[in-house]
Formats: sequence, structure tokens, C-alpha cells
Amino acid sequence: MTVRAPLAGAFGLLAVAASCSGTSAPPTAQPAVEALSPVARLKRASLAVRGVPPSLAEIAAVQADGSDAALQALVDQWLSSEDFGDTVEDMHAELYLLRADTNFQLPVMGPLEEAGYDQSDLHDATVTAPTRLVREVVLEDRPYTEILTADYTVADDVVAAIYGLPYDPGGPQWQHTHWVDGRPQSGLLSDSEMWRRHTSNAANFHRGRANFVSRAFLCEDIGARDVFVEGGVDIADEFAVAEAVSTQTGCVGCHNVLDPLAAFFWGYKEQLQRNAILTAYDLGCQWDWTQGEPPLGDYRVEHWCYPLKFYDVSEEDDWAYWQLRPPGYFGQPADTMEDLGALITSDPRFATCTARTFAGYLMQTDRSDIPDDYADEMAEVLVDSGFSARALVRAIVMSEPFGAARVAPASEVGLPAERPFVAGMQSIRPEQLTRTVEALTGFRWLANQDRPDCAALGNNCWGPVDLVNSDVYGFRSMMGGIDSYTVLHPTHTPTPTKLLAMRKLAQEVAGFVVLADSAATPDHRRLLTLVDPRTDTDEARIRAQIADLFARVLTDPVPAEGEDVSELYGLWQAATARAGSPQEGWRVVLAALFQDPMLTLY
Amino acid sequence: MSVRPTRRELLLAAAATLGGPRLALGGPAGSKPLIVVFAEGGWDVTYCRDPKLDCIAPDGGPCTVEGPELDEAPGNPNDREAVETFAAIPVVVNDVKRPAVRGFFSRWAARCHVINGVWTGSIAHDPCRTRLLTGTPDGGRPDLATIAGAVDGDALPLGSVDLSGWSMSGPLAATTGRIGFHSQIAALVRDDTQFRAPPQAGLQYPLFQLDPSDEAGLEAFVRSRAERVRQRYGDAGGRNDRAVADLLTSLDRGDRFRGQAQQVLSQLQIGVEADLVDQLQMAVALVAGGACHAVTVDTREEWDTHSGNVNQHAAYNRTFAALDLLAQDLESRGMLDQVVVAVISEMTRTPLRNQAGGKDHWGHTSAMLFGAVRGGVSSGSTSHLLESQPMDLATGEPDPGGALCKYDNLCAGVLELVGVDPGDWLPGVVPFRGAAA
Repeated sequence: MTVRAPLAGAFGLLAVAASCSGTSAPPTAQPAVEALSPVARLKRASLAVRGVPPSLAEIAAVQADGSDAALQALVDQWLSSEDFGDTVEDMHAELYLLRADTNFQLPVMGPLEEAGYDQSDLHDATVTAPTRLVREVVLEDRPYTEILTADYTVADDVVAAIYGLPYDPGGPQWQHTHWVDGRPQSGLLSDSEMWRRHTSNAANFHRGRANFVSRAFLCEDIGARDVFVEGGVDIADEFAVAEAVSTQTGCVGCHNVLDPLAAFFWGYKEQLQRNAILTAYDLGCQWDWTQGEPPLGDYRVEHWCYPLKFYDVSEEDDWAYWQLRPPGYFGQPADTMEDLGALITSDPRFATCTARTFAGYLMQTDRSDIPDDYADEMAEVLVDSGFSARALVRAIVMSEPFGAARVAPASEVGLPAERPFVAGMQSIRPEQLTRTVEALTGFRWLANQDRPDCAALGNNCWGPVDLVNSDVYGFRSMMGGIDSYTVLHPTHTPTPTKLLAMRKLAQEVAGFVVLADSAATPDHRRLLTLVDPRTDTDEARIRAQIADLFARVLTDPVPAEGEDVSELYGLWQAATARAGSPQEGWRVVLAALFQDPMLTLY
Repeated sequence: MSVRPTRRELLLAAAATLGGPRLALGGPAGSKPLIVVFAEGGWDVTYCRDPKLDCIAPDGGPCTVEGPELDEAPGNPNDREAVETFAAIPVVVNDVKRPAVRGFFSRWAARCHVINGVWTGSIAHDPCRTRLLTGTPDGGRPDLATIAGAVDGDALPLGSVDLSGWSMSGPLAATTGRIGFHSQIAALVRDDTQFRAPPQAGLQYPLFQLDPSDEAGLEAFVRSRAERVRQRYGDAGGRNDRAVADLLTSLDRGDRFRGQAQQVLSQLQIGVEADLVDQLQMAVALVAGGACHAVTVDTREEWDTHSGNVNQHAAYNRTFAALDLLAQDLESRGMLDQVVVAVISEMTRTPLRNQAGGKDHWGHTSAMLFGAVRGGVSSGSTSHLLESQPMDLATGEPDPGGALCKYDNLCAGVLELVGVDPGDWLPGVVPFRGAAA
């Protein structure tokens, strides 16, 4: 299979730019799709890939040359950028449900407290470590399979202190290192932070972890199947239950797959909870041997003190004690976590699932709704490129469904019985919004809501948090994101709470920009670059500035004498007159632009 | 490569644009507001509504169920578990550990309907929660409160409000609102509530607050821009049209909610998680005040007792004390006959305890409905292994020739109780009708 040329007719796409909508529709009843204008497509690509809108120079470049080549050249640049790395981390944090700031926090105790870390430091480091590995693999264009096969892990000083990993204080913040507890090293599959987030419990026998692996990397959600358990199992006998899952017809369908996958995880502790660590410190991090043998086998109180013990080689084969199935992969025998990484990444489902994951994220579509032929086509790009995630992203962004503006209305071609697959209008994610605002204005909506007594009991002091991109005090899940604990599905459409939060943010942004740009010299102003916001009242300059803001903030070039600018100029005039200051006019204009539908939707 | 719009999607598109007058507290005739009380983590039903104290196994021996009786203090003769029947609902009571359970049922049993033996379809938290709240295994689908609110609360500021964090809104998100983990919504609906800027930023919020005289002009600008987006990208009822419709709906709903719910939400403090009593008070006030049609709240209890199943006592006691207050509140407002309260948990616990004195996950559960329901009785049953038994879904009577009451049957039944046609949302599912008044 070859990748179709971007904007060819394979999807019934009309190469009609929205800005040229006067072009006639085809004389056919085929489902028809209009492409975005080059500038609108540039904006969608930039936000999807980088999380920030294009610069004025990039807009000008595409306006000068609206070809695919011009856009592709820019996309290729972006795919090496740190902003793209941020997007890669956002995507994988969502996939792995890592950024849970309302739960799963490790306490700041012992050496971590002595080092001066706070709760934000621990949260940020632990949720970032797995995605940092993915970011590095993708940005350096190494095979994406490495995320599950790497013989190293990635840690910063905080993660290294938590788990006692080798770390060079004089080196870069994020370093390659390795686990020192004897566990097999296989990329994310060996990362404690993955399995601290995805816990197990007594009778679960790591099946939840197995299902997570199957769901995240193979798009096979075994847990979504209904579980029917027939009566008659002697539930007083845990071994009888273990046997039943191997023999009962209602059980074996799932357990034949799930239990061998789960068997890879027996070396990991079931859970690593905050309260257990607090208790361990209360007990002085020493087991009192006068109490006899410790109750939890090879784990003792000191193992819940930093550096934490989360893996025990001696427990790797405990599945045998419970008479469960040995490690295996969908019928293939295997032994170690390295085997599992190799087997997953050589499974054709991994490539297809990866294509679905990236396409679903970049087009804000549930990955199960990505059509099979599109997923297959993108998977082929991935495989043919040697598992280059950058090549995959490039192919998605340059594909017809991504660049489609809309299905043509019924009045033009007749309502199609079946809609072609298109990305359609996207809703700005909280992660994109906070980066967009900061890139445009230098403002981040930070707040410190710590209580005065936050330092007690494990230090729950967060310090400043980004209100757009957090849930502990902010609006991430209220603005369409997930909190990775209670809210597990993003919302890709405007909602009342999202718009209320954007309204509040827009006003803070407006206040900040006018404050900052009024105090700055002209060549250091961020947005109000064509006027002096304190004094300028010349209509032509005001209009030119407003038009410039449309381009910068919304990637929506409009004429200075046009209707959009006139509406905002009217608002500017009214506010300026009321307050007796042009600065008030600019605050109102900026508050309007930062809640404009073209910022919310793209 | 195409995606055929489903009946559900067409309904959603219609729901996004529907409007109409609010007829009564419950919305259109026959509809009733819904309050979902979710006990996240998996309660042990043998501590309350599904007594197994005197259970006999088919072979005549005792049941293989370890219930609350294991926690009795030998030296305290008052710490005893017993089964008492309130109206016709058998309940396990213990006046030392769970006095609020007796208190609740002694006052409200006649308004309660207990459903035992609800099969949950899974034994893991997330899949079970999704099933019990949405009636499907798909977390992208809307849950009970969201559907009820979207269908019958379209004329209100919000269809539904999630005070719990657990609500799933799916494609009906534009009809819903969330208050946030730490009551963050307070800063969005009240001008007197501001975040604290970090000292090092040298700023104080708000950096700007729109003057009321500028609000109308700004809103008109945003709406005219939305209309231009619609003209530019309109796609005959496709995703773009739904997005713009959601934007306009959300603008309107957000403004109205802000105006109408400020007072109700005045007890919220940023940084403080609302407890069950506060949530229930807000839920009633929001519904009574016409701010929304449905609410989801969370018990804020640690029901997931893999170790220390004894903690179920306190969780039950606090939860039923709060439910008692809720029922009193609804009664005093004359709303108890107009509202359905659905108290549910995603699973129960295993019949036996594990080595840590806790219990693990069990793929069955109970539910309790009260308010505008057929009260004073219980439906369904479980076996000596605490497994769901077949029932007549039309009556709730145990019936070996009947069907299991599965998660979807329960959800369809709740939707029907509040006046929503479950066939629109859970097509082909037979509703549980035992609680129909």
C-alpha cells in the first residue's frame, strides 16, 4: 500500500479551498468534502502538532505559497521542535492516564523533604518520567517500538531519589538510567510510574495491568467484555477460583489471554500508596523485629521509605504458587518483560493501534472510530518508515481527512447517506490553550491555593499551579481535558464550564497584556505592537492593530476595514470613552479575542 | 471510508438545538428530576440491603458469606447484627455501628425500593462504573444524569450538574456542568471569589473584570463570530454544526447558570472538596431552583475495602445519615414525590474475606431508589454465593425463569422512571420496571 498524495481525490475530497468557495461543486451525488483554506489548514496543523498557533511569518509563507509543499516544509520543521515534544507528552499522558493530580501523590518525606521538594515537584516528575522517554524517542526519530523495548529508563533528580536510581547531579535534568532491583528493562513496561498509577490488588493478580497493556498498545480492551461467572465455584478456596478461570467456559475466553499477560507483572508490588509511606515514616522506617516476622513477605517497613522498593525478583514466579498460567503472549510462550516488549512491538496490532492512537489524538476522534482503511494506511506509513512516529504524524497531518473543512452542505451536493471520514472542527484542548496563551502573551494563569498548614502530614504544598492544566485547583477537566482518575475521556466540544473558564482566563489575559505592553518599550511589546496602548486613539492605527490581533491570536487574517474589525473597534471606542483610557478599550478587545469562537474551535 | 449517522447521533443533534418552555419542576409532563448518589469503590451489600445472616445454602448448610457479623465485639452485647424488615424491605441493622441505617429505613422505607442482584458485567472499577452509570461498557457514552438532564432539562441553565467528578457526559457535554475537584467553579460563578496569584508573580487577581456595560457588546461580538464560523464551516448537521451549536448553547447555559446558581454554590470554597451532605444540599437547591434537572454526587467514602472490611460500617453510617437529611430536605420542600434518587455502587465485595481482613471485587451489586418510586419493597435476589438471580424484570419478583437484572436493565429502568424513553439511549434493552410507582 502506498500513501496517497495529500489532497488527492481518494476520499472524494474536492480540492476547493474555503476561501474560494465560489468554485462550483461537482456534478455528482458522491459525498463531497471541502478542504480547509491553506491558512486554516496551517492553523489546524500547528495547533495539533505544536499546541500553539502559527506565527505571522508562517502565515505569510503559506499565503504566498498555498501548496502542500509549503505546509509540509513547516510541518517538518515543527516535528523537531520542543513544542511537538510537549504534544507527544500530552498525548501519551492522556493515553496512559498519568496526569492524575487529584490522586496517587507520593508524600514529600525523608530525603525528598530534606532536598526541598514540594508536592508539585513530585507530581510533575513522576507523571512526566514515562512520557519523557516517549518524547525523546519521537523527537530523535528513533523507532517508536523503543518505548517498549528500551534497555534504559529516564529519570530526573526527583524520580532518581524516589527509587534510588543512579543519577549524575551534574548532568542534564532528564537522564538515561536503569533500575537497580534486578527487574528486566523493557522501556515503559519496566517503569514503576506506569504500575504505580495502574495498581493491582489481592485477587486481581495484575490482570488490570495486563488489560491496560492490551488496551493501550494493542487497542484490545479485554476489560470491556462482559464477565459472566457461573455459580458453583467454591469461593472459599482461592485456588478453586484460580482454577475456575482456567476451566470455566465463561472465564477462559478472557483469562486465557489476560492471565499470561498478567504473569509478567508478578515482580511488581500491587500498590504503592501514600498512606503506607506515611505510616512507614511514622514507624521510623524500621521493622520492629520483636513483633516477629514482617507480615508482607520480603517487603518490610523500610521498603516504604525512600528510596522505595517496588519490585522483587523473588516474586516474579508467584503466579505458579496460585496455579495461574505462566507468562505468555496470546498463545506464544515467553518469559521476561523483555520478551513481552518484543512480542508486542512485533505484533501487527501494535502498528495499527499506534496509528489509531496518533490519528485519534490529532483529529480528536475516538480511536475506535478511526476507519479501518485509514488506520491501515497510516500503520503502513509507520512500518515502512521504520516506526518513525514523526513520519506517522506527518502523514496524518497531510492527509485529506485532517485537512478537510467540512462535508459539503446538502444544498450543494445533496446530503450524503454516509458521511466521509473527516476530522472536522476541533476544540482547543486545555494543554493547547495554556501554551497558546503563553506563546502569544507570556502569561500563564498560575495560582497558589495552598492552605497555611499544607506542609503538615507529608507536605501537600503544591506551590503555583497552572489553572488551565491542572485539576487539583484548576480547570483542566472542566475545560474538556481528563483528570486521569475520575474523568477518563476528553470532551472535544465547547461546554458551559469550559466557556466560563475561558471567559475568566480571557479577562486575566487581557489585563496582563495591557499591563505588560503598556510598561514595555515598543520593540518589547508582545501583542500591542502597532499602537501605544496608553495614548493612541487614531482610528486607522487602532484598526490595523485589531486586524493584526486577529491574525496573531486567531490565525484569521481579516481586513482592517472589514466587519470583524469594525465590531471590535466599536467595543474599543465604547470602553475607551467610558473609562477615559485607551487601555480599557484594549482590555475589552483582548477579552473578546481570547474567547472568540475561532480560538475555541479550529 | 464513511460513518453512517446513528439514531442516537441524530437524537444528539436534535438535542443540541432543542429548546422549549419548562413545564414543571420535573420538566415535561411525566419527567422527574434525578439525583444519582454514587458510592464509588464497591460497597458490601451484605452490610445493609442484602442480608445473608440467616442464609442457607442449597445443601442445608450455612451460606458461604462472611458479613458484618464477623465484626461484632464479643464483649459488647449491643454490638449485634440483626435483620429487620422495614415496610417489606429486609435490612441488616446494628445500632452500635450503623445507627443511621435504621434511622433512614424507619423513616423512609415506604419511599424506598431496593434492588438486589444486579449483575455488573465486570469486576474492575472503571468498567463497572461505566456500566452502572451509563448502562453500557462505553465510557464515551452519557450517563443517567446527563441523559435525563439533556432530555428534560433543555430549558434550564444546565441539564445536569456533576458534583461528584464521576459523571460521564459523552456527546451531551454541552448540556452539563462540573464543579471541579476542589470546588473551582466558585471562581467562575462568583465575582467575589478570586484565585491567589503566586507572590513571585507580583500580580493580584483579577487583572481585569469586564464592566457590565461592556458585557452585552462583547457577547454580541462572540455570537456574531460564531455565526460566521457556522456560515464558513457549516456541514449539514455534521460535527462542525454540532460544535457551533454546542458553543452557542454553552454560552447561553453558562451565563444562565452563573446568574442562577451563584447563591446555591455560595457554600463552595476553592480548595475544599464538598462532602456528601454539602453535595446533597446543593443538589436539591439546584434542582429546586431550576438551575438543572439532574445531579450526580459522590458519597466521598472509601468503599474499596480490600483490607479492613470493617470500614464498611462507618461508610454506611455516614452515607445513610446524609441520605436521611436528603430525604428530609426533599420532603420539606414537597419534592419527594417528584424526584427520583438513585443510590448505586459499581459492585459489591466478595462473599469471603481475604487475608487482610478485606474483601475483593464481586461482579454483582444492589441499588436503592427512593422518592417517586414504588416504595416499601425490594426486588430481585442473590444466591448463597451472593450471585445475582433471575427475576421478572417487569415486576422485580425473583423468577427462576426470568432474566438477570443486568446493569443495562437497571439503567434503562431508571431512565424510564424519570420519564426518558430508554429505547433512545439503550436500544433493545428491557427496562427493570419493578420500581415503577
